[in-house]
Amino acid sequence: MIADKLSLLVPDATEVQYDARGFHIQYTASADTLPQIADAFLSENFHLEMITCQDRRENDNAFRLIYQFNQYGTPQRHVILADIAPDATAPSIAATFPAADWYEREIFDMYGVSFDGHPDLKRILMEEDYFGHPLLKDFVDPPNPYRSEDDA
Amino acid sequence: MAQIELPLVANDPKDIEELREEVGPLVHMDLLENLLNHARSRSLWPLTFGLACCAIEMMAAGAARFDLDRIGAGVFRPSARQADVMILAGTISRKMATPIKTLWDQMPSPKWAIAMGGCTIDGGPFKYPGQYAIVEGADKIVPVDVYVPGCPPRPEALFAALFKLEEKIRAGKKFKK
Repeated sequence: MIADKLSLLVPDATEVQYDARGFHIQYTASADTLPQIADAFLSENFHLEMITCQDRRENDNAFRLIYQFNQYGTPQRHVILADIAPDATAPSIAATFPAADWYEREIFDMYGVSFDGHPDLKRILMEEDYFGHPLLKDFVDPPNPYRSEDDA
Repeated sequence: MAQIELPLVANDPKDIEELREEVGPLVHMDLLENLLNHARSRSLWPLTFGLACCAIEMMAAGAARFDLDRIGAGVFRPSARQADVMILAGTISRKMATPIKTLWDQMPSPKWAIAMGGCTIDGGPFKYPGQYAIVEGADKIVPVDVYVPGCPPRPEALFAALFKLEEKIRAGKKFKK
């Protein structure tokens, strides 16, 4: 069972109300256990639903990575929260779940979080010579010719 | 071309000047240009590319029910070198701005651009202060001839835009930029 495998890796599991949150169990994990967690989910026939990120530097001085794993067999959704320090890197799980490849690139593009062991970590949505990370709370896009508000 | 009756004696330079003023230039290119413009307006070959959901309506306009071929504009060219008109159908993301400019530069003159849908007119629903993702209006990167409002415009609206463009082309110099 996935709960048994995860209980060794992630002690902190919270059952949440599915009707309110849209998933069943939420775990708070340390970022360096993510590859083992991914392996555990894969061995139990889960798939990666999504990875996303929150810029929580103002509150917790951390970026929060959010992984969601689902299973069709016994319908269930699990959410993993992993906080990392603003200047730290997270381990990539692209080797386990190839779907993570582009999610991690997106998080790198939008938040500037780097993933160790990613096969090809480069921007995915913005131009390759873009300068910043647009979804950071303190991001300001300088004037550019593509915006009407910047027209002289 | 009308026959010009030359006076028998026009040796005096002053006479020649008077004659010129009377009949205008000896060679008229208007007729040829009108003919060319007519041909151009009846065979607008669009460049094959779609940017977002408006492209679905563009494809519907090209398909059997509406059939762009009826007005000679259904020959979507896969190469910019063969295309006359660029139909910008959909949101232009900022990453796409450079390729679109390149495609426009690759199209041989004379060439025209149609901005199809709200996003290509001014950014549409994706426009907000400080946005980082899209180009607010196709006219920021290419010179647009006809704007088609709608989200997305129906195929009839695209047809109306092509008819307007045909009018513009046939009017010739009156619209020269």
